[in-house]
Amino acid sequence: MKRKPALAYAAMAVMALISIAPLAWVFISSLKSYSEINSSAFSLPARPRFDNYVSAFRHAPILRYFANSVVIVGAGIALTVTLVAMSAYAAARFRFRAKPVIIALFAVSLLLPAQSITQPLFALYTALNLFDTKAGLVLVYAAMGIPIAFFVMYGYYATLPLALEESAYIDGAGFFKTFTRIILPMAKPGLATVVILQFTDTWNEFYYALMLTSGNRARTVPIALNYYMSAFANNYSALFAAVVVTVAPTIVFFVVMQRQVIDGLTSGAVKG
Amino acid sequence: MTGKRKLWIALFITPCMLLFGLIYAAPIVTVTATAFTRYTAAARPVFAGGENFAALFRDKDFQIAVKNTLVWVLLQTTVHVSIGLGMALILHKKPKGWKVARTVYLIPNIVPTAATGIMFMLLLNPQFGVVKGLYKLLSISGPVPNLFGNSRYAFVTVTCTWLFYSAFNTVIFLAQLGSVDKAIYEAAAIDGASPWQTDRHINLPALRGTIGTCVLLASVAMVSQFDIIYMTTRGGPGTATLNLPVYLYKTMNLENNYGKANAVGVVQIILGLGLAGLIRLLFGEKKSNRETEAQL
Repeated sequence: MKRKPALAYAAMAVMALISIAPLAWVFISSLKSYSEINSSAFSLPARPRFDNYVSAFRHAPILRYFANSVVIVGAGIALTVTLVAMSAYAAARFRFRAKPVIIALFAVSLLLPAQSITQPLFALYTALNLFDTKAGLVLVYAAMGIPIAFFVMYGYYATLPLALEESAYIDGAGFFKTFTRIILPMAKPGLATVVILQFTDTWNEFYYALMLTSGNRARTVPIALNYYMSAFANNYSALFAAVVVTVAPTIVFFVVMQRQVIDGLTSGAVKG
Repeated sequence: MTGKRKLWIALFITPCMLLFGLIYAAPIVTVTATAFTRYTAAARPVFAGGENFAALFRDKDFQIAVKNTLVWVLLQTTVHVSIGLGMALILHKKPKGWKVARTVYLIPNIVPTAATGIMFMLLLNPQFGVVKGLYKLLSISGPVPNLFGNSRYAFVTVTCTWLFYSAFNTVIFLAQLGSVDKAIYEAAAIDGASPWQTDRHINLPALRGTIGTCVLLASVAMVSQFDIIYMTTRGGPGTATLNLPVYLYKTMNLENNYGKANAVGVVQIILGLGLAGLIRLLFGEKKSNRETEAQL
């Protein structure tokens, strides 16, 4: 079943090129001196130099932004996973009056443009002293992840056999014990999907980080990039290095965890 | 059901709904209510009827923002999704190196959008970017065009930073194609079906619902497209790349006009839901998104 392979390879080559060339160019440029960058866009550095990296790290607390991101994204994931593991279980296994409303609410909120509720959220955060705090971003990220995570887990619980639970109840185990001892261990693959999905969504989140933070205290990696644009306005050779340092861990993470990331992205898109 | 179990169900549902209510549901109510008020950073909301909406629809910039948003939705739901579909049909035949191609193609979708913005700003910078390099290489005289800074090119340039990067759709299509029964392909091969016929009569029909899902996701993404525009042009030059989210951002942060900003938010929600409804109608099946389709 081979189509004209030449055409397929041409398409693959073009896509690979437009995907990787901008990154490669930024990386090569980051190893050039300021004057080399200015003299020619396509030349290679006479010798690779790391001065740009040194000055990037000296002028911006890059590691601190990473630490912020790790804390905020990590806590957000933990919160989403905990809340959704519980609520989706109750919804998947039991019938109660509010269930159709909850499901409809989550389904509609998946279509909600993120920016539309900016001002009320900003007002709420100012009132609750959550503006420019890590906890504030954790809450937004956890809440934003709930609808998607809920549907992934709702679907996953539905695939688990009822028999084990039934026998646990017959043996006299309570609701909570059945959930923690029987259900959660079986639900691990579903929960792992939620973790990956939530990670890729929030690690790169830009808008709320921009609107709900103002200083270094809770500045995450994507917002740091915005800050570099002005911080390195007159030193753009260092900007190249700052971008590489910021982007590289994400790419490494993706290449290593590729299978899981792809599974997470497609979870639910295919029935079963 | 016993009372004890009812209590447990309530305990399992409530924390999730509380957080969701605080961050999502309550703000949606507030945004709708205050859209009908005179409300600024300096003054508390006072009811003003449809004043904000009237002001919006008179505003030339707002009309342009709506138009640009719709053009981007149109391009993304057609060109962008088609590119993703085409790549999936190619990669599904597992040509040599397809896995590497998939990985490389996915990288731009994994990189933070803010970084994508900066990278294209650097790449196309008229002082040291590749356009200048090309002008030099081909010894073209004349000034190097500023692709983000010139209103003649800005819209196309910004569009190019996302239009072709459709790997997210490609992996969704590939996953769906993976669930097609292999026996069908074998039967097609025995009948001597060409690759084109296989695509036309087996793969595309199998992907119909998934195409609807991807079109919907593309529409949702474009109605709230912000990051790259903010990083590169902030909606400019002039209004060349202004869309609804950037217009909302400016109304809120530069004008400090909260009532009007919330009216923009309401328009954005209605537009997003309206387009979603339209797409569902077009694709005929009840599919709200990639996660719910198994359930709803």
